[in-house]
Amino acid sequence: MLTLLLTGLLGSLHCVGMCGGFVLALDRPGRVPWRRLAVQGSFLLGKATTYVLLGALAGLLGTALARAPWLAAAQGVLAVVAGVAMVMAGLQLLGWLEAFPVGSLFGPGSAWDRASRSVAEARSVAAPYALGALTGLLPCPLVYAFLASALATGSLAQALLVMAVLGLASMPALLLVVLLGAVLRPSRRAVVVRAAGVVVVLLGLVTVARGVAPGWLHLHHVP
Amino acid sequence: MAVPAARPAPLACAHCGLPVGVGGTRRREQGGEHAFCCLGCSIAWRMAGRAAGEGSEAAVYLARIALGFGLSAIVMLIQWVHYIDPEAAAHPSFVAFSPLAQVLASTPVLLVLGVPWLWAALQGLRAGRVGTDLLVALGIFAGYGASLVTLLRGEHEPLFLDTVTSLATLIAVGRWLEARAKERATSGLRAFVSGAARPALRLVPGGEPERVVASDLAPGQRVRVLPGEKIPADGVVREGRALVDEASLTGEPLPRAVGPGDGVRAPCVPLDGPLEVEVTAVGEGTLLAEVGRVLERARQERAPLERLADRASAVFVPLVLLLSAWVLWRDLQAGADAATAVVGALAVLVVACPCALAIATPLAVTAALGRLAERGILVRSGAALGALPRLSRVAFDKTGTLTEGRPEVDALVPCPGVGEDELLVAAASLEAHSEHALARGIVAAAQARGLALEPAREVHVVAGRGIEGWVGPAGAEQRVQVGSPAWLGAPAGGGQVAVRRGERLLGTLALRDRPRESARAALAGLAAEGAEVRILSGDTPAAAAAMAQQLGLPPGAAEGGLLPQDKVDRLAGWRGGRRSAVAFVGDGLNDAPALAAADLGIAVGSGTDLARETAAVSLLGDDLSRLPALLKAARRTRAAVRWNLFWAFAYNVAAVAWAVLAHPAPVLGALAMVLSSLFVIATSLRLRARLSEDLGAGEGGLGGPAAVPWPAGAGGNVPAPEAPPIGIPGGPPGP
Repeated sequence: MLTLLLTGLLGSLHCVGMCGGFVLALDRPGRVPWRRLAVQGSFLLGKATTYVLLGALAGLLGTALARAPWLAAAQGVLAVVAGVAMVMAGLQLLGWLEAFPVGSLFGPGSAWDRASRSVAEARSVAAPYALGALTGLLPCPLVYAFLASALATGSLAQALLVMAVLGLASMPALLLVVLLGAVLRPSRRAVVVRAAGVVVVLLGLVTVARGVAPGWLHLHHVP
Repeated sequence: MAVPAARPAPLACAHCGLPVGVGGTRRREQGGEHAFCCLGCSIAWRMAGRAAGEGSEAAVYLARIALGFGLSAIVMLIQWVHYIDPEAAAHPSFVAFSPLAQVLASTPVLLVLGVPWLWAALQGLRAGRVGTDLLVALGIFAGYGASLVTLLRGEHEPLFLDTVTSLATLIAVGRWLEARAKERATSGLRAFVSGAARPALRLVPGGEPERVVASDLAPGQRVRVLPGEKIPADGVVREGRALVDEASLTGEPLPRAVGPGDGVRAPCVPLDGPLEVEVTAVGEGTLLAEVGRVLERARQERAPLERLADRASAVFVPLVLLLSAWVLWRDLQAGADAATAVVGALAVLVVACPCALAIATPLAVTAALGRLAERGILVRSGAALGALPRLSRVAFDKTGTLTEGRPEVDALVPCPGVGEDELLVAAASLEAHSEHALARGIVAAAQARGLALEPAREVHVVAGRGIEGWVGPAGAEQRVQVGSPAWLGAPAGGGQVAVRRGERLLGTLALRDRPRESARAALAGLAAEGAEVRILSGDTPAAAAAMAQQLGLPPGAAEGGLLPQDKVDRLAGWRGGRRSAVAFVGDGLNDAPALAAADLGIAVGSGTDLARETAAVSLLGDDLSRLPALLKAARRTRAAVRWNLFWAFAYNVAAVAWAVLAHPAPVLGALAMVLSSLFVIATSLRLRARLSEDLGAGEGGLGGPAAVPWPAGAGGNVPAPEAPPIGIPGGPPGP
């Protein structure tokens, strides 16, 4: 569990790239601090909700798979998938892979775009929540990595937990973005992002290795 | 009992316009305080972005529903783990984490969705009203509170958070859907807005025409209306000729030819030539605005049946509360655990839907009023609509109602020794100053003969008899009287209008009054609907009988020679009895008492303001064939209302009984409640569709303005066909 959390925390630096934009757009520096916090918290809660709901799907699928005799093999495959996804995320951070393959599904003019645009301007505490929920649907390798892990657990409860951890893990990073967004200079930011990219790639490789080798189970076992 | 014309207007929901009844709520929004008939409407109103200036307010409520949906899904999932993954559920960390997670997820839902209902319920309580909001708020917060108590006690059972959150979300969605549907049912009435912002081209004498908006205009000013533009205000044509499409006001598909001197109304559209119009009434003074006002009032008045439904609702809610408490007690006594008992009580609270009862009547009536209005039939109140199906007899005024009101001089019957011209000149000179329906025909006849009219002074009306005045060049005036033969001592059997100059009886004029094209069809249709037709006329009995024959009525159906008081007496004699009602169809000033005396007064043509005020129904335009359709529509509406009320009542009884006896899951109860409301709404929407079919666009019409094939001539001088005239006064009213 702890390793999962750690992975999430580090990986969430990737989230900064995509979601950071939303977070900064939602923030209005002139407002009362608690209000800004409420907005951010609402956004993060929305994102976490989407993750958990996706995790539920993965978990249900996983429980169905759990009955199958080829579970062990499936879990191995999933670990590899998760690892590869994380490597991709890291490479995106390093700039070697194209970021945000948004495509026509989420691009301008799509339903997603229209929905998020209208919600972004509304002035209610629930609006950032809705935006966060929509944001959680964006294609993000880190999310896919965690989903693969969730699927591998073969249990609904654990799947929910895994995705909840992801939701939780992305919170500090994004909150930091808001707090430091104005402070950190672009050049400094680039360094941080690069470093994070390296770490994430390494973690991904480790995950792949564990998928190939037998002793990986304990990574996903609830302690 | 005659339908009353005026009553103080009760509060209307700012969103759907239906009356703010028992469950109403008030809200302070930017732009003042608004009242809503239910929480759903207040939600939908903001979602429609009508709050001042905030276009994206619509997204706010959608966002809230999204929040409720997302978080309640999570709470439910956590509960599901017990069923799907018992092994993991037994794990100590899950056991510890699950309740906390549920509370964390459900609290925002309660805050964002539940608190508004609690607020509305408390407001209602303070005003002494008990409504559905109270039931729902109670149920949800009770469930939440009970769950918190469980957690504080350190236990993990019973928890109702999944039920509570899904209930909140489901009910919010249901309310919003209801409000959306209500809005669609009442949409027909919104077409009648006064259009103050409509652009207008004001003509400035000696200067350039200036672009203004309709609300800037004042009577006396002139505007130019180009073909295809909407006339911005009521007025009189001063220059130009055109075919004017009046469908948006009267529902008539046939355009009317207008020229200088003819009246036109906003928002009609000249089709093939520009018009220069002198404004006589703007904004709230236009017929359009008046129609809108009448419809507003009609919508808001609560017919007797509705008030009954209101009272039933007020009793119903406390009853449901009691039943719910009883179920709780009963289950606990029977030894059930707290969880089951609370869930059972919750189900009872949630399944009851007094809102269905409350909207049953208004929805159908409003839908009907809207459709009728679109066809140019203005019914002033739901009560009037309710009285229509009871009609057993319809009495018509002859002149101006059944006839076109433009009688022509058929023959001149001068007394011996008097020339026809002399007779005509005397009559026409006087009638030139009269507003009477006969005046135009007489004056036209004189003009056709090329006769010069003499000046007349001090022309005044002698009520019920005719007019008199002084005619002749200055210094040689003689008293001239034109009117009923009986009054002036003319022998019977001559024309309908006698003329006397000085002491001499000059003779009589025979006038022929053409019946309207739609009259025959209208009378036949009314007979088919089971109403007996009579004609009450101030004209001679012979003329009345002739008209009856022309229109295919039995000889005894027409009575002539009646003074206004006589008509009132006849109608009073026919009235009475709940089973049968008598209607009077008329126009013009002297019909006002009769319109008031009948059970149901129906004014035809744009007529005079007084006639419209006194009548329960106004038929804009002159297509009488709409009368049978009106009866049919009223009957359909009555059936729909009865069906709605029956359903709403039966549903509530059955559903509450089910909830008390069968212990269903509260979510099912909420679903049932939403479905029942939707059922009532569906009936009303279907009524609307059926009425559209019935009322149609009129037979033989050109099918709408786009189909008019007239070529646009230069300067608009197109020779137009003889389209049926509408009874709009041909000039500024008043002598």
